[in-house]
Amino acid sequence: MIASLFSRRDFLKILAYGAALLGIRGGVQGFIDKVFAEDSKRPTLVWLSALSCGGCTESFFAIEEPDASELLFNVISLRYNRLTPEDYSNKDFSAISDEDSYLLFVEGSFPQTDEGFCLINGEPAEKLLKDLLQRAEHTVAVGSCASFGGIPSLGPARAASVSDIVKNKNVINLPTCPVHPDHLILIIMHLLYFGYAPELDDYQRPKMFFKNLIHDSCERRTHFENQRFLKDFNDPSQSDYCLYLVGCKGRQTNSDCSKRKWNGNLSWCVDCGAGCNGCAEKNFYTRFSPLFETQDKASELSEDVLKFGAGAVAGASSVWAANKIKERLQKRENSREV
Amino acid sequence: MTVRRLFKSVSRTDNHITLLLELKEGTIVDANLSLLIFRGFEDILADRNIYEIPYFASRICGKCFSSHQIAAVRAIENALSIEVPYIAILARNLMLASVFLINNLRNFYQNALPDFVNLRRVLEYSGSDEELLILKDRVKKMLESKDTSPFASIEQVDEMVIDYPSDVIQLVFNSKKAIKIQNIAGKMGTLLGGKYPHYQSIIVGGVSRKPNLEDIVKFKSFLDEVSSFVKEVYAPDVISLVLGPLLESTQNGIGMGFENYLCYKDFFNPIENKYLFPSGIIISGKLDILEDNFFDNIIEDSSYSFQKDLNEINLKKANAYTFCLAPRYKGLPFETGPLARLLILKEKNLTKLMNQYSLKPGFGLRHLARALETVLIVDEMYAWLEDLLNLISKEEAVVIRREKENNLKELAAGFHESPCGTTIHTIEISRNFIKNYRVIGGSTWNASPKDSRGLRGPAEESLIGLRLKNEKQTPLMVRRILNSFDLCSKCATH
Repeated sequence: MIASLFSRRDFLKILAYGAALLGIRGGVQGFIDKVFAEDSKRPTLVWLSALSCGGCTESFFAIEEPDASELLFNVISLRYNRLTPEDYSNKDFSAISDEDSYLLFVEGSFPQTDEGFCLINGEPAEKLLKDLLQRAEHTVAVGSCASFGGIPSLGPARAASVSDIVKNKNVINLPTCPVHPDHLILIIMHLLYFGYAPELDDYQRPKMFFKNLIHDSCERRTHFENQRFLKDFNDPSQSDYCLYLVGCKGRQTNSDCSKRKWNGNLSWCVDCGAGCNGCAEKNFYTRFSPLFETQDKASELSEDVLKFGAGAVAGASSVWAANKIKERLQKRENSREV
Repeated sequence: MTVRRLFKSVSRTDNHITLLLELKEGTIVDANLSLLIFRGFEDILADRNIYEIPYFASRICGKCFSSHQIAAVRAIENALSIEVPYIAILARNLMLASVFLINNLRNFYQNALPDFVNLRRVLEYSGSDEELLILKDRVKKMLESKDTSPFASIEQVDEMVIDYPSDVIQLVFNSKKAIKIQNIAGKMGTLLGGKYPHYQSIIVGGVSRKPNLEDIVKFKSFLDEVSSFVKEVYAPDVISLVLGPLLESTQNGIGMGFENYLCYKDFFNPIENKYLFPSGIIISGKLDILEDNFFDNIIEDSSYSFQKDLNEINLKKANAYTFCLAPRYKGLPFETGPLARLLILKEKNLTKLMNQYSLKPGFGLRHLARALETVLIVDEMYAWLEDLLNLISKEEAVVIRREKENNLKELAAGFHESPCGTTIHTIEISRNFIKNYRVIGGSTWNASPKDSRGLRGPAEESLIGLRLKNEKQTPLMVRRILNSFDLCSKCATH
């Protein structure tokens, strides 16, 4: 039965992946029977795209295992997403009939000043969200915009997140900008197999992804402990040093990027030398601004650092905490120079 | 007698676009293309520290994120008079080109192709290819359950539709394969950019890390896979579609619009000191020079836009029907994108095919140009990769330059030829902070509304004169023509 749908290799991949990451052992056959049963319809995944860049949709195509093409053709039915053209007879969202059950994935935030800032098929986005929410089995806010408002909340639309709009419904937030492809597929598998949401933290983020700080398992952690900080991007001897002084926010950010990396374990923000910008945290774009400078800089940490940064003022809320860290760092810095 | 008809969903793939058509005896005489999404990035980017601008600009569009990121970076580098090191130029070219591969494949296989294929014919496939038979089984179940995601079936069959069972099933199979190839192209970007989508390593002055040998070896093995798909599957598919079912309409120039095209030089190879795409404009079919300071003469007309002026919105404005502004150079609308680039480049394969089959610009030629452009870029990527390999072997190789911070220019611009058109970011800086920010996305040109002189945007103009049958849904031909522009409401309105 399964062999007709998957090549052997893909099948094994799904088995290994699902079993290992979701902790399913004896339940693998059950998972397959439920999700891939031959006669039943594919589970429907309705995708609502409001004020966003559409990058989270791209993340869908970046799903590695199972390979996105198998996933889209064989496993689930992704609807109303711009990657999957619709049959015109079903184009209208109202075509999702009452008896249909579906998972609702929301990308982007919702305008609060005027609904005219985001119309989907000529209808206000917030109205569609409220309609679709009523019959959704589970609702997942995908990416920083849907989870916490995101960058559009700074604009004239003053956009709000999904949980701001529907306070009485349990929404699963999957922040990071864009959503991590692994988080996306794992949450889909979790919801389809178990039928209930995973354990969530205070920000409604699944604990299985957002429990620990990036800093905890960072590959450059040893350099941090030994006070080896990157100051010059052009110096090959510094190239794998800690990025704290060039603005890495891994110490304040909860996510598993440092363990999981991105796009099939190839690289991630710290590995490519730019550092973490804290996109898994609420309002990271204001809290952690300036993103590519350390927030300690307010009181001259070192001249080398200043060479790479412009005279910016850190957000008031973070200055206090940052000052504490800075004092410690400065002590270490001084002791090393002596 | 004229009839007005509103279509609430125009493209299969962008939910924010609606279209109002005015028909006279079944012929389109006027078109209003409405892009109904607005986030206000020009407002969001103002007052920010210049070093974090590229990060935010990248979030203008998730599909061609790198084009806004690079345009922002280049604008700031221009303002600081930074000369970007060669390694960074080449690494950036490779990252930007990866996005081209994804975007161009997606436009054909996921957006446009379903409108040229009669999916039901898959069931009549009688061959013995094992993979195709599995697919046939899958499509059968899709049609039975009336849910064909991620492909789509069309509601009517006309002369432009591919109807032969073994062709149809092969195309659907290629469309599935294309998803996998886009995934691989995304990994190429990740190797140098840190993650896909939204690269992390493109920062002001260069790139944040020197690519190493491992990156380049992996990159090449991914590129080999993508390149063979592009040359052996994608380009032949498009060529046989355009020279087959679409031949007559391409010879008649259906969906032509104005014959005005614009392209600003991009994809610089510092070793050979040459641009892959040269600057130029074509006005009513005549090629001319485009000056480097041409952006001084671009006027963004707001007569029919909810944007009154920069950063000022009036949703109740009379006559306004879109959030997109209308950029006009020398008072004229210009089409930008793959067709514009290749016509200005006088690309030899395109010129040859145009002469041999007497093809005219139109929706068929747009698809053809996009495919030939992809081939061109893939070939160039091998050259960049080799040059990059030579450069990183030198020890003193520099990846970033930022020293000239004191010579701050107050006004500067950054350009990029993005997959959907010419992207321009203009900035005004005071004391390391952004005072004013202005974005013209690739699609802003193509999806622009009418201007004060009543000149339509290129996409609107391309629909004029089209004869329609009495259809309830968005007419198939309208969708085909608009898809060929690769319109993106996020880029256009930002």
